[in-house]
Amino acid sequence: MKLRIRRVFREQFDDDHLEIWDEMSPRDLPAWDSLMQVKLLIALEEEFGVQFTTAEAAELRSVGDFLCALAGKPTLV
Amino acid sequence: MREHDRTFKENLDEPALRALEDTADALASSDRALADKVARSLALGNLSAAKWLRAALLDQLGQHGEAAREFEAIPQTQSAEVDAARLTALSRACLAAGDWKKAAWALRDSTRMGTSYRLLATNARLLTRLEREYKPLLAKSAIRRTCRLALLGDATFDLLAPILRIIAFASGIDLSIHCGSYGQHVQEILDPASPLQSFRPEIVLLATGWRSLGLPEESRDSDTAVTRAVFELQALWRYCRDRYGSFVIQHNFEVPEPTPYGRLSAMLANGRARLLQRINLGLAEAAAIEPGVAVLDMEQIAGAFGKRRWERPAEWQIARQYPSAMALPELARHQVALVRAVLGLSYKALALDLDGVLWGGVVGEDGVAGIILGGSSPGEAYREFQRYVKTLGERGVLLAVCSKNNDGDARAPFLSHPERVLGLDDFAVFVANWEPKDENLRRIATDLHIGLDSIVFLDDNPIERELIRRRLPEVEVPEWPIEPAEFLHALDRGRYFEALALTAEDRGRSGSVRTNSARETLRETSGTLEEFLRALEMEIDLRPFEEADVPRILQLIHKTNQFNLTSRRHTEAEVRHLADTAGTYTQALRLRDRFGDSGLVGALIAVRQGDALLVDTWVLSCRVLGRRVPEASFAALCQYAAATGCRSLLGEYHPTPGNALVAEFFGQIGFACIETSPTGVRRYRREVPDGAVFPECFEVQNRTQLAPASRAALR
Repeated sequence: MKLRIRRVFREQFDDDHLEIWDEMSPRDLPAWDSLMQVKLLIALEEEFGVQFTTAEAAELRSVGDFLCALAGKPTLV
Repeated sequence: MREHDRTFKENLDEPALRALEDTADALASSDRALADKVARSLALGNLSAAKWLRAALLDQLGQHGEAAREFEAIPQTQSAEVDAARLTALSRACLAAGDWKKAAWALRDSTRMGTSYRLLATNARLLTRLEREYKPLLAKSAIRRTCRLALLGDATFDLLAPILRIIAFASGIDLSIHCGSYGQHVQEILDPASPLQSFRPEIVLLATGWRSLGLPEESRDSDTAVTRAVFELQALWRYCRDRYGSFVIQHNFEVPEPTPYGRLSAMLANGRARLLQRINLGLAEAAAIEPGVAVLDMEQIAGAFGKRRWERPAEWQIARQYPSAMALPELARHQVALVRAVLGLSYKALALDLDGVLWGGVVGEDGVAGIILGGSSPGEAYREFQRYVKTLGERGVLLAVCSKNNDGDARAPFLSHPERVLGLDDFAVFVANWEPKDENLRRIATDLHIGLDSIVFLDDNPIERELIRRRLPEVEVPEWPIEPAEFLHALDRGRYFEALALTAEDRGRSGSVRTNSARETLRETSGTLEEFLRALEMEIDLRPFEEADVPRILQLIHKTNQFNLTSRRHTEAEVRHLADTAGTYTQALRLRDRFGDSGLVGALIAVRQGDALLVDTWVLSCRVLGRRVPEASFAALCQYAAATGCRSLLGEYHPTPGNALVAEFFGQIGFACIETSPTGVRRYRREVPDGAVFPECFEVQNRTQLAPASRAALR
């Protein structure tokens, strides 16, 4: 799953060599602003066939957060 | 969901593509030497999946040229989305290898074919990369027109803008987009210090949603609410036009789905759904009489897409994103289709294959009696499609046949099949032979005097489609469904022929193209040119620009390439401004002859500069060239110049790829070249001649020699 998340991050940040780690958050990447957050949520929803709740959208911040949220989704593809 | 054979997974689907990409990624990241070995061993494989994995590995290993070749060699699948993804991968690899031209074409084809938000967002990012290094080169080869567009409304547009850009790119348009601040559209238009002042939008896209109207579920005074909503938007349109000279595209209002009033929302006279419907009607009526405005029918677009999918409440709440990201491709396609119409770049002709498109079966083998047309299904589907195509022709789209058949076999169904809807008369050009179709399409473009980039080509054979896409990349070749009942929707969805207005010339277009061949026959039988011209019995009518002529004049200004001396693609606002300026000479030229009425075929605008008249715009439809019409147009200009005390006439020739025809025109009518700029623009001057006369072959009605004060100005 991490590989898929990395691919999504690489696509959204338009960086073919981007590396991700669990604690990575907006603090680590200046390009990770609120607009990018929206784009990441939409892209991850599409990649994994899930939907994030509005509550999750407000709380998920780091790569690790995304991993946990995704792992808990019943309809994960 | 496309069915595929699971026992022999030759074909690809999207999840497979991503799995292959991930595998390549994992392999190359962990052990490059192993990745290289695997890539080489996969060269022996024949399956598309193996090819894809090999290509992805090569890309990862930095061998981009080889990866591109591999991506290109993967055969077409039955899924347009997979093919589009393949083209995107090809484009990326080409770009990395430095082959910008192929990267641009592949990107464009991918964008035309694919429909998902994810794909188009990826393509948009790829476009940004492409432009970063190759923008000037792209401008010369892939871009026909730049355009500044302001996106204003009560939603955020950060996700829409890139999708708009990439879809516009696929139409050869380089869009510069200004995204308005959320909910600030009124302020941005009205504020004298608005960023729009410096941005100078050519088009303002007012993407206002139903929320911006602030209507309650039930209004107290519905009449006032409707009138006020329309008036307020009208005021904004006028500001945009007067202050920025922009054309306005106005979204109308989609009726939202959930409502506690249920059916009452539309059934009550003051229910919100009812009010929105009335406002939409009001907008359509207002835009019809307001110059420079076109309404984009969001109610229809959202409905066709499916309102339940159109809005995602979560996206609105989190990001003020409206419509949902998944709906953006559909929205953007409609917006770009209208932008194309505003810029005069809608497609002009539909070229059709015959067997499998206009009827089922193969006429050369089954005979007229054996083809499937009419009667019960599926013949009925072909008939419906013929009806759709015929109506396109009747409203101004040129129809052409491009078929691999004997000419006689191809014509027969149009002459004698009892269920036919289309007749030979409906086609401006009919080409049926055994030549390669790309040559035929070139011929069709020449015969119709249009560019290849104005043609949409339909063929049921995927091999022919692929051939044309490769050999004639400017031609639009939509994917074609196997099911005839879906033909109509497949063509309709493309929105290729959107128009701002319907002129008399549009309605008569295919007829006039046919009568042109009658004229050609006359020419062949007349002796001298003079005899021919006299035999045509031509009548020319010249008058200043009138309100009713404006749509057609704009059409001429935007679409004429050959006889176009300055190629200034004036907007409607600019034309009106010029016409209103004191001392400007405007000339609308109409031509009629023994064979028919060509309608308004020429336009001239000349502005006063001291005691000289400078020709700002001079266009003539290619269909009336070779008949001394330019001389008549010039004579009228001279007569006006003499009557208003001008001493000299000034002209400019701006060279373009299309107007070499008129490079020496000013010289031929007695002008002297006084200056040539480094970019090739030539300035000319001559004295106003005494007593200019019209060529004898015309009967002339000239109302342009009247002094400006007695002309009704355009309103």
